Amino acid sequence: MSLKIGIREMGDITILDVSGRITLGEGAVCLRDTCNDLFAKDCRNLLLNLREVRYIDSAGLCEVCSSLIRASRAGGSGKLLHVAKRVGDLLAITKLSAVFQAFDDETVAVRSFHERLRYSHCPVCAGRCSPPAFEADPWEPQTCTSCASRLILSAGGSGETAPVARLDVRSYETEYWEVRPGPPFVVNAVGRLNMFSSRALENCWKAIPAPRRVLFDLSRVEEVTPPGVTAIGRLLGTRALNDNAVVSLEGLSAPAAQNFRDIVGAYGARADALNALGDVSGAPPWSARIEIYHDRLADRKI
Amino acid sequence: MDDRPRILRVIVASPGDVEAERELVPVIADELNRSVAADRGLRLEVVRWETDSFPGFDPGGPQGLIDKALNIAGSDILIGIFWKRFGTPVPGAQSGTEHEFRLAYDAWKRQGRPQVMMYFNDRPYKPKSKEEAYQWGAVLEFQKEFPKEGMWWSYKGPASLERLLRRHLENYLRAAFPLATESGKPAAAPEPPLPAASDYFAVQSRIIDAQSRMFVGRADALSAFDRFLASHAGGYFLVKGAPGQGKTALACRLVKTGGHLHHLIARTGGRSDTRLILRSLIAQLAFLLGRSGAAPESIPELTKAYEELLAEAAARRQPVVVVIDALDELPAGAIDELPFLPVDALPDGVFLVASSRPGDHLSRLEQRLFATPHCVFELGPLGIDEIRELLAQTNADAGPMLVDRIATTSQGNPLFLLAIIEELRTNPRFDARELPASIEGFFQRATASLGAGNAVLGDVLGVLSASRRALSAGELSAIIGRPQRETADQGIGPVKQFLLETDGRYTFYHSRFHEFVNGSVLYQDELRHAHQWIAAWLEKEVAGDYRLDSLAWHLYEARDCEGLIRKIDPAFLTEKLRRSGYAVLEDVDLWTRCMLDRGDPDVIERCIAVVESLRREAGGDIIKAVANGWQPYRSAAGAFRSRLMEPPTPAIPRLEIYAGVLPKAEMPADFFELVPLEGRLAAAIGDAPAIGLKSSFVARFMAGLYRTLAARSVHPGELLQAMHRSIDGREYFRGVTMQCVEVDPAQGLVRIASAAHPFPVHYSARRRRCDNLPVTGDLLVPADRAIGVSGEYQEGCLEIEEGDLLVLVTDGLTEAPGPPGESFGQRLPGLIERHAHAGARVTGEKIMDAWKEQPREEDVVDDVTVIVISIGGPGGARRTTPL
Repeated sequence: MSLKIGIREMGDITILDVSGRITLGEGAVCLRDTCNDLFAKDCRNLLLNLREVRYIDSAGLCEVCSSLIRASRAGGSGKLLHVAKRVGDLLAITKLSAVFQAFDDETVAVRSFHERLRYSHCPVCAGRCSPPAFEADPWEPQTCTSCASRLILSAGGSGETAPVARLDVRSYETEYWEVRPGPPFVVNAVGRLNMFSSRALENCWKAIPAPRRVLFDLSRVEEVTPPGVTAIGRLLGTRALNDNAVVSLEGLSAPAAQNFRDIVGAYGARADALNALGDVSGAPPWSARIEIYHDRLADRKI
Repeated sequence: MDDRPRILRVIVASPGDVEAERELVPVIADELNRSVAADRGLRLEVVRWETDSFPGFDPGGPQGLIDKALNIAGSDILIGIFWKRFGTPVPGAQSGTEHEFRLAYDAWKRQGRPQVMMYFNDRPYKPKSKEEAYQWGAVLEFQKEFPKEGMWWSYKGPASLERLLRRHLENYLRAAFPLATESGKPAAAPEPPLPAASDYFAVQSRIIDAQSRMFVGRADALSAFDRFLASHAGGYFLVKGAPGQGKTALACRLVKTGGHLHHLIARTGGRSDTRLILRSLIAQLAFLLGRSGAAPESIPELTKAYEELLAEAAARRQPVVVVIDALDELPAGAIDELPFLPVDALPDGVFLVASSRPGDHLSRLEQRLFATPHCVFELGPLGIDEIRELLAQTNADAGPMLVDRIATTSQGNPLFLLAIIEELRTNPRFDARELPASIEGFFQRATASLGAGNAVLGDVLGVLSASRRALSAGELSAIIGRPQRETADQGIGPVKQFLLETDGRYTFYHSRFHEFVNGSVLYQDELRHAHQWIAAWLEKEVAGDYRLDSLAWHLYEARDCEGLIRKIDPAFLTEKLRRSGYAVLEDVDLWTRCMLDRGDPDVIERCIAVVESLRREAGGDIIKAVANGWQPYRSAAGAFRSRLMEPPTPAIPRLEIYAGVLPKAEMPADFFELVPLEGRLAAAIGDAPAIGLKSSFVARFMAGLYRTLAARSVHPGELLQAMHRSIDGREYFRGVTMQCVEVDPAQGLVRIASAAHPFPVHYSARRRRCDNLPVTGDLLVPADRAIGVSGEYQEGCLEIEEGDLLVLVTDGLTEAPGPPGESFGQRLPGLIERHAHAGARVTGEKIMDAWKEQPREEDVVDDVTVIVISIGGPGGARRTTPL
């Protein structure tokens, strides 16, 4: 048997402890049959605990989605618990993470059936971040399910927005560029500055609200290639008139700093760069959009 | 007469840690019930405690209840499986499985049955607790104390057991329930169906007569063959030789003198189709064994019938020699599909003689034969004595000086010699001083009138080159629209010495002349016109088999896709299915290609509908056969999960490219395309969800669409946008992932865009380490309607240097489950870093090897595709020159 399902009840919530493989054929059928039985018994709120699921293929994923959607259409709700990284990645790349709620903590998951949750949205790509927070609770560190940017949110905000304390934008799989709000905004480039990581440069720039006052701090850059320098030069050269940005080369090795000799706006000392930035008082507040969760599954056609 | 099958009860005994293996037994039994067992009037019925016992009470406890349900003493086969657990103690034994084994062993000692087949998983295992160590120790103890009358077998995981068990059960059924015996005892089941003798058989024998007439010498080859026969119980004698060295003549000589089974493969004359080769060999075997009956249709059925007849013939008369000539004449797509050359199923007493030019076909066969006795004989040039003998045999008037001159000029090439002999025979004014430097010189002389405006010769050569069967002068004249006399005098006459005439019909005598015609005489558009003429002729004048056999092929080769779609309609396909059986699959293949080339996503539905309509007509197996027939890279028959496919990759300066595919099912749902573009490479890799016919059609469509679009733009982001626009909203394409890459070695640049596909891996030779490149993007068609997609795909640009590697994969590789806490994707960067210095091919092969060897608790359920692109070619990492 490729799949085993244990069933627990917690109030009006049915928790399915699934273990094994959810794959085309027997695994998917077993899950479907179990859910059919539960729906026939009027179970409405379904929490699929996938902690012991070792493998899930596209057909299995389809079956999981179908079960959750049917729970919602039956007037209840369907959610996921303990989604393994591989399954989480699968949900992320198929954007299903934007539709289904997934939790790492059973208590929180159970609570979410009865209390309103809120989600933050990524300042880079507008994708939904996780984990969600209950309205009364503070924000934990957030990760965008779409572009993997990491977000620290502060308390406060309007209810529809929350102040951003820090944003980490991914350049390589394990390298992130840090953005801290200003004035001025400071972008700490970390790791490599090359053609590939220059996408992070563009993404950081997009995430900062206009009119921008930005200091690019390259003190933590370990490697610079000419296309990386070109990318930063292009950004400085093509910015809008009401934006301003400078580069601090302080901390960068002399040979690496040599690459920037033709870049207007690049300064050897951080203080010089800040001086060149001029008046930074006009920088706008930086906030992320907040969404109160609405179960969008109920009207989905299966 | 009672037609009900005899039931063989198969008991499965094992502890609980080999659940996946237990699940395999009914699957294999089901397969055998449709093949080997069915042929013998048998039916395997699998009995397991979990499906056949029921709750209750018994004085012997739960095991007593299970014993009653299993009735081991009354069973026919007991399959025991152990890995790391021995099981829970029961009264009288350390575990239920041991108890069941003891019951079976005692019954076998008393009554000779059940057949006890014990398997031990010897995959490395590290106990994590005292209890686990105890359990494992008990298994090893049991293995050590196994009764001396018995033999157990080891295996390495479910996939390995699946293959072993299938083979062992087949062997057991064949041995215990033979179909027919020499003593004439009645078989347990009706004999397998056999084909009637075909016309091909007669044509082949005439070709053999013609070819063996010109045979001389080769005493070394003949004695090597005799020695091989005398010193081995069975095996392969491979004849390797350059074009024109006389491989076919040698093969024909062996057939002529030994009366051996044979098939002479040839592209012209339609003798290169796998199905036809099997049918021809089966017909000869049937004749040998005095059988008659109808031939099966599908390649797996034909293969099975062939192997069974071969075994039977070997049992009756040893040795049995099968001669297969010209493997190099097989289509490139059939390189891995040679079911008429059995390796694992080669019975004792059977010898295969296979001839070929050096090349892929022969190399692959040699690789397959690593554990099978075989000998490679290199057919060199003829010696001076052999040349003299040949000239004497043909009464060619040649003195010693001329013989020496001929020997020097021809370099002992028999084909060249035959051309000289023909000149000596037919041209009294032939001046030996004018001998051309090679055989092509004779070809050029024979076709010299083309330069003087002999259009008829050009037309005849075009039609003979395009035709799949020999054609008479009348047919040639009808096809090219010229009077018969003109056709014979101006078209056939000048090249008659290079044509093979059988029953008044002509085809090329030797593939070397065919290659000369295609390479030096005809332009591609002329060849297409020839196909067009034949297609038109088939539509108008020929209502027989050739029209059904080849109309679709000629239309396809003429690039008349619209004509093919119009003319090869469901009625045509159904008629062909009825009259020619599974030969219809070629038409389905060509029709499908034309439809997919249209680039209209709706064709997927039509393709599936056509195959489904044929399935209704022919039965379910046609789906599998369609799959084997039309996929772009083929697996060998029955090569499921056992053989890696490595499709050819384009040659691009400063790039080395490797592609490897391990399909889960007959039809891969993974796809890739490699498009060379002026020193750059446009590549795509993708994955259609699930497996099966629909997924495979979707995968092919995506690959075809990419190839079409890549001709207009190579920018990966734009390509994905265009693909998204083409298929957006189509249900079939939900969940398809894809990644497009442009590699420009001259600029030192890679552009990548992704539609939700697993990250590519970049190995930097300078840094000596890998990075997973996080290039993300929406699915081309979202998995759920609630999800919007932007249709925009951001490109990532990467600098590359000499020695760098880019590895593209599908999730079948990265997400394959491994040991707890580890997926193959996590191992991948380390693997690449270890082997990158050796280039793309070695790295790709190492990845595939490691993937196959990775210990895993269950079999995988997805296709695996890997593309490795090395910048600067193999060994590039050692060079330091910047790009």
